[in-house]
Amino acid sequence: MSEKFWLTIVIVLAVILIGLAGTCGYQYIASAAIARTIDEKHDDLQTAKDTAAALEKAQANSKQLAKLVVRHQAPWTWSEQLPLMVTALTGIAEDSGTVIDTLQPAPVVERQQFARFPLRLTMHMHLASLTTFMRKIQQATPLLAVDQVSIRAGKLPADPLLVEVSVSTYVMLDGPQAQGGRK
Amino acid sequence: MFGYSEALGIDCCDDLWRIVALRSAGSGYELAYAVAFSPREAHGDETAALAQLLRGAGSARGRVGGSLPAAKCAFKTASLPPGRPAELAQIVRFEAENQFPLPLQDLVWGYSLAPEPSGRQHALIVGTRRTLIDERLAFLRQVASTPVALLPAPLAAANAIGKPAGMFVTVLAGSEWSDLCLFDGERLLGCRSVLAGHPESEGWADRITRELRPWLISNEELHQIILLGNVTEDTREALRQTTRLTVTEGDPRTTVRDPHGLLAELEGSPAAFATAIGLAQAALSRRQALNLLPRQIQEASQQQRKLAWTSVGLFAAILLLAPLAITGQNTLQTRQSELAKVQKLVHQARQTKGTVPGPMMLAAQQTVESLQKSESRPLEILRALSAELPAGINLTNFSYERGKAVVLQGRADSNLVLANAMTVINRQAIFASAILNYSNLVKSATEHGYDFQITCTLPPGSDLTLGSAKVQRPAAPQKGAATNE
Repeated sequence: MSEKFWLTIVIVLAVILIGLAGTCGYQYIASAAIARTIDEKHDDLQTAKDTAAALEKAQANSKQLAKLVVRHQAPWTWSEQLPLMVTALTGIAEDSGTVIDTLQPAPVVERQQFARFPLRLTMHMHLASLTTFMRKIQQATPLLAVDQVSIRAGKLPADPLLVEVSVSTYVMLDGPQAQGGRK
Repeated sequence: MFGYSEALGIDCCDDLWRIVALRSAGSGYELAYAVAFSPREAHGDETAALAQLLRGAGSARGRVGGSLPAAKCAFKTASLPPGRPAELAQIVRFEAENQFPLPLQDLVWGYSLAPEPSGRQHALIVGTRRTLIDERLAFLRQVASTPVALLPAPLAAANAIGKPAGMFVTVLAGSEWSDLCLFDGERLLGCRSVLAGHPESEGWADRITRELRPWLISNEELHQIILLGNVTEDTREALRQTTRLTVTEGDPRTTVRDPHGLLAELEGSPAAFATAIGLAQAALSRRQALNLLPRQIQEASQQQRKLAWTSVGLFAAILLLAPLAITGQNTLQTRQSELAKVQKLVHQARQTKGTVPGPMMLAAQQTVESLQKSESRPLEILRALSAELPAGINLTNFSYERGKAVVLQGRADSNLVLANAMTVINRQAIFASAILNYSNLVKSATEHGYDFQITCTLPPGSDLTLGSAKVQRPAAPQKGAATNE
């Protein structure tokens, strides 16, 4: 076998070797790059899963929320909200065995199209009625929040308690601009 | 080219060509093939016939050593002063230029050095015409392959036998020419060819003796002749009688094993194959001394050898890298498919339908969550206080403001009772903190006790709409009253 033959063999083998070495190098670099990408995609996947879970939870919460906090088309004012609220509170008071002495709406507080309609009540009642009244307010649907409570004892032990309660209802105002009242 | 353990020795310097194949076996060599080939029977195309014979015997591969007729070689001697190899090489070249009748460029020549007892170097310079070398190379390439050794026949034959100690002469008897070499142990002292005719012809021994006479006269310790080539018992006896020296027949089986008895089966003496065996040994051992193969071919052979080993290295590297590349490809494909799978999952996850809650919805949700906490339920605060406050505490006023505070007013029987009440209130998890605003002693004919006010701070809620709400402050303590906290 001539020198030319061996030289050809060496060149061919060298080319194959260089090709193989190049392939190995490419594979190493590509594998490392893909591994990094996979890690990033796993992070993306986790984020997407978390987002999806949050969205699902939000959807579920929205349904629950719709029962507790009523949506109305803005503008929504005290004159529209008051009858609903008085009806609900009067019912609760009657169920608790008491009556509402005074009733005074406070200015609407609105933040980001989420409005609170506070209503101040005064009542004379005994402790048992107060307990029932407060319990029914906590369980009311739509939501009734107790903002303030003031309980004063009567002059005599048998006298009913003077109770001042500030109760709020919440309304989500749909539309471009809410005009529920003063902020 | 590399790793050959087999070599051919082709002796084609006589009327009968002898070819042997030697292979490495352990630390020595063994005879694998031996044949005598008559070129006369080839009817003028002896090269093709020999090539066919070798291919048929499967012996055309491996290294090849070829012989050169000693009659066409010039053997010169010189005694050189001690010196370094490079200096000796220059002196030898000078001697060769002086002693050879032809210009050195027309010759292929080589030399060997052997130390003399005096400390000088004995040089044997061998040369032959370049045309003869070219012819022999062409012949051997056609028959087998480019040789790695070209040796004068008597030197190759002498290499194939065990050399005795002391001075001796080898006589390589050919059909026309007989070659005489003078040795002192392993040292080759001289060589010459004699046109002595066939060994069985009349007067052959006399002619050989006549040529030996100068060596016999100058070397009194020369007592032994080793016969090689076409020798018979009669030849040996005739030479013994004419020289009165000990004449033995050289047997190459002293240096080469013949496990198959090939030499015994062939016609003639085993000494006839000494040249071919010596050539094969030289090819296997790559002996350089007196190898008349042109330097370029030797270098080309070395280059080929280097290239061959480079090929082996490259091939080994390929064998090492190939599994890595295959594994790497599998890994790459696995990761690519894994990436595609993850990308698909990400795409699917991103396509999940859902409504992003807006700020209003979030505010409502936060408010609802806030209202579900204990601190947002005054009834539960009332119940906890009623259950936990110690006896001796009478509440007269309870004020609650969501997300801000609970204010308790009342009368305690004693400050100790009030202190207990503070301890109880501070233990309530619903309060962030609790402060006793005042404790005033009440002294009258009908009432006795301490009027007090405690403010319990509530954690802030999440109701955005409570920001502007005011805390309903209880009544200020009476003027001049003592305050205990």
